[in-house]
Amino acid sequence: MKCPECGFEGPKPAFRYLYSLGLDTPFSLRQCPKCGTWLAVNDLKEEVAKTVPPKEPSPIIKTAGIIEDEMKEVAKELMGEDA
Amino acid sequence: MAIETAKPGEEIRPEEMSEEELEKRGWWWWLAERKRSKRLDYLRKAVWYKGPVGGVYPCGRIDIYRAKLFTEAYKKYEDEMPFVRKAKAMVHVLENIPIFITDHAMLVGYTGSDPDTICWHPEMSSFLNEEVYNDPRVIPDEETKKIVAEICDYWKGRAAADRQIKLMDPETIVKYYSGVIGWGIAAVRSYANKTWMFFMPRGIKGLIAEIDKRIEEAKKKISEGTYPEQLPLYEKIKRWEAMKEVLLAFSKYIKRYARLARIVAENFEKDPKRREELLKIAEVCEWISWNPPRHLHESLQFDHFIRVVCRLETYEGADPHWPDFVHWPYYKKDVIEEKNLTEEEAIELIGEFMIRTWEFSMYGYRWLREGLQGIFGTWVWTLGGQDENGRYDWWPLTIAFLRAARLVRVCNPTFAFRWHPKVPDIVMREVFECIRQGLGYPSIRNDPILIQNGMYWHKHPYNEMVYWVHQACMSPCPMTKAGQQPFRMASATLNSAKIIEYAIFQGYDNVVGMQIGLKTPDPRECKTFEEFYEKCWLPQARYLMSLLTRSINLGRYKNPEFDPNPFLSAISERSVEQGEDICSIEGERGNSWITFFTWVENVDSLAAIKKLIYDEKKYTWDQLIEALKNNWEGYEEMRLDFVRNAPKWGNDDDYVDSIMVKCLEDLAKISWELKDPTGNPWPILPENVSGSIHYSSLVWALPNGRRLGDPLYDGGISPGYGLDKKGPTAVLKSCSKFSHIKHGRAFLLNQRLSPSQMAGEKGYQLWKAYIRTWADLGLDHVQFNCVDDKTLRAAQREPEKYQELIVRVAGYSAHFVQISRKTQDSIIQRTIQDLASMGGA
Repeated sequence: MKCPECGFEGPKPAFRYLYSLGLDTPFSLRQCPKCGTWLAVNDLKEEVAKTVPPKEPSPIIKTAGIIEDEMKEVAKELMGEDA
Repeated sequence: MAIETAKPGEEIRPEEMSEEELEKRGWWWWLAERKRSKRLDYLRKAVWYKGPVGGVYPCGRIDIYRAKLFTEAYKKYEDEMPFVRKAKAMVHVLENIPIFITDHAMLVGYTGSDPDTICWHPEMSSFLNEEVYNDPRVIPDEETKKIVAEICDYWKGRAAADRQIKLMDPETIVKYYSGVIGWGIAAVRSYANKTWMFFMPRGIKGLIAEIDKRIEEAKKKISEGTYPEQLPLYEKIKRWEAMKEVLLAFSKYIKRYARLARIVAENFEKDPKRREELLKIAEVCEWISWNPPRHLHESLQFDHFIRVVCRLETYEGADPHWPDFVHWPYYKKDVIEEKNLTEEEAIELIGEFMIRTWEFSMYGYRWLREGLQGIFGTWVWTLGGQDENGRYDWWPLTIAFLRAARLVRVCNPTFAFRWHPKVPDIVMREVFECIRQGLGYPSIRNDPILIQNGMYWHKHPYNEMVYWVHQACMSPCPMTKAGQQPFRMASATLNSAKIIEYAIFQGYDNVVGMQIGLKTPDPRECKTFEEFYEKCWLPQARYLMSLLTRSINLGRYKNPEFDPNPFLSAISERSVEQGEDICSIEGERGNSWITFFTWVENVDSLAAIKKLIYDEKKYTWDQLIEALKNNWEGYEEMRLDFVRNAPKWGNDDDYVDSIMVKCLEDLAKISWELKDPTGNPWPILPENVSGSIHYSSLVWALPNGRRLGDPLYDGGISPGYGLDKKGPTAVLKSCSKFSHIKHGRAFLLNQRLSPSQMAGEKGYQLWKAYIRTWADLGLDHVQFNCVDDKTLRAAQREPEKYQELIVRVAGYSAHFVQISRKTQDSIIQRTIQDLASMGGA
């Protein structure tokens, strides 16, 4: 897996696990061990979906209840057509 | 109607917006600022925000006076019996601690010598003292550090927890203080219910008269004849005398404020209006320094002083109170009968009363600072309810408190509303308005259910249980002579996700790398789910519940010796009558409970194990254990299977709901086996505060699909984030399948609402219908966040624009920008329930 910010490359476990972006989704928040950037990662595909800059909200994926337009956009950005 | 947030970078000028515009945007904090008086606005903003952020206090310094004065007196009165010694220490503190009056305040009194100080109780524990010493943020200079060091040195080995540890076996100490299974220190009283109906009508004069009577009777008995029953009286007389001494010091402490107010008024204050106010403060304090209150101002001030001094006596982590009931006679007289005050003036005073409480601060352990982000304790005031005749006459004062709350928008104290069928609609509308305006409180409590609950578990008679208050954020305890719960440490608090973790790993804790739980059989040997449940899960539950409650029992039993309570005893009916420390168990009908943090993970994990290992045989125990050992890393497909294809709690699915019921039934049986010092049982109480975050790095990967580091579910019987797929009715139905009377003490339920759905009359009717269903189904608790994701995310982007945004974390509310990012994200993850989808249960 490669960090888009600094280019660090390594196996997924090398990227420090922070927490899930939705327990019933394959997405989690991880941190690059080299530059510390927060990354939204697809744990199933083992690839970085997007960076999460400081003060930018985490791309949490809502899968139940009322889902606001903004959260639908978040899911679309991360999951594409699977959203 | 969409709630509009500020666009990123948008220059907002709320001062130029109309009230309608502010309401339309849902900018309740700006609206409150517009509506409250200049004075209340000043007082609200004058409070130093000291609530812990990221486990540290953002501002404030340790109050050296309380700690130093207390320690001085303890050294001086070394030869006195513990109760007397503590009383003399309290006298020394009350006579000498510096006091102040906040500009524009009408109520006075604080738990420290300056508004930015944080009260420190060095007599609690050396663990705490070391944290203070090593916290550079709260020690402003080298001189203070030297004094802190001296105080720490004195209390080493003498502090209450230190002394208790000497009595405990080493294994229990290590497990207890590892921090992974429990929460707290066993030795400290922590938070006490109070017999308001006893001391408010009596005042200091009346309390001393009661005590004098007892002393006289006792002295007479020990001067005539010779018999064994005389023997306890010698020490009782000493305790009564000490109670009297501390009450006289309390009286002098109040008079100090009167004197200060007069000095400032007569010598320094140039504004005639403020001079008048200071003289009023002096008059109020002079009266209540001896006499019972006559008016609302006096009752609120006396109430406040009581709670200040209780906090000077010990760390009070909660604030059991029923202020609308307690102050009703005074409010009724002032506002309704004699019209000495308008309703607005009363609300103004009540608003300040809440601000003064919000201001309280005490230095807490790290686990407390992390578990209660943003606040000092769960100060949940009870509102509503009924008396033994089923009457609820004080509802006008309930409304005043609710309106005041919307004006001052503090996140502590919060309210919990005792709902019953006779609550007038006008009150329900005010309750709803607080929720809709994003305060996160009141929580709603089912009064009929909880009265029965207290009668069932602790045998309180109806005419006592009906006078119950929240002991902390959830547990109902009566404020009567025998029902008063004076002692509740957080440490009968179980990180209960460890039950399932230890059931899988045979009691081994992967986080701290040691054997903490019971060494139960290898789950691989269990041929059926029932065998795993009976041989692995249930024994772990019994073991952990027993370990924690044994420690509390010891702490309670030794408290009168290790850390007595002369002031609380002096204002408590039972102890004044008996001449004993209020924490002596004599005459108490116990109210113990075990808080069960991180509970539902057990149920979801058990359901996943049952379905995927035993019923469908899709995976083996070997595979699951291997995946969990690796924190699901490299097993994502399997993890998603365990999340998505095993039934989850909160969806009205009998497969998993029946497991919840079975677990609760069995835990209730264990509860009856465990006895507190009064002989009463230890029912469980699932809830969380921010234990879901605090324990997120302390609970290993579990079969519900979580990984080490993931926030645990938000508490009580709330479903997992986004795992409640079937709507609010399904959540309620799941929660109704067990007994909220017989299966535990209380059960916390968090629900999120959509602000746009809650707008207008339609919103109220939707919410009211929800409450009707909730009540009909026999649930005991529900609390609401009414805030949309857009606002929360905007607050994350530009926290400086949302400093006053309040959210309901679990048993408490906090300012969103003061809680950790992980906690913020977990709140965003909570499902926003669509109440319009409820077609009826």
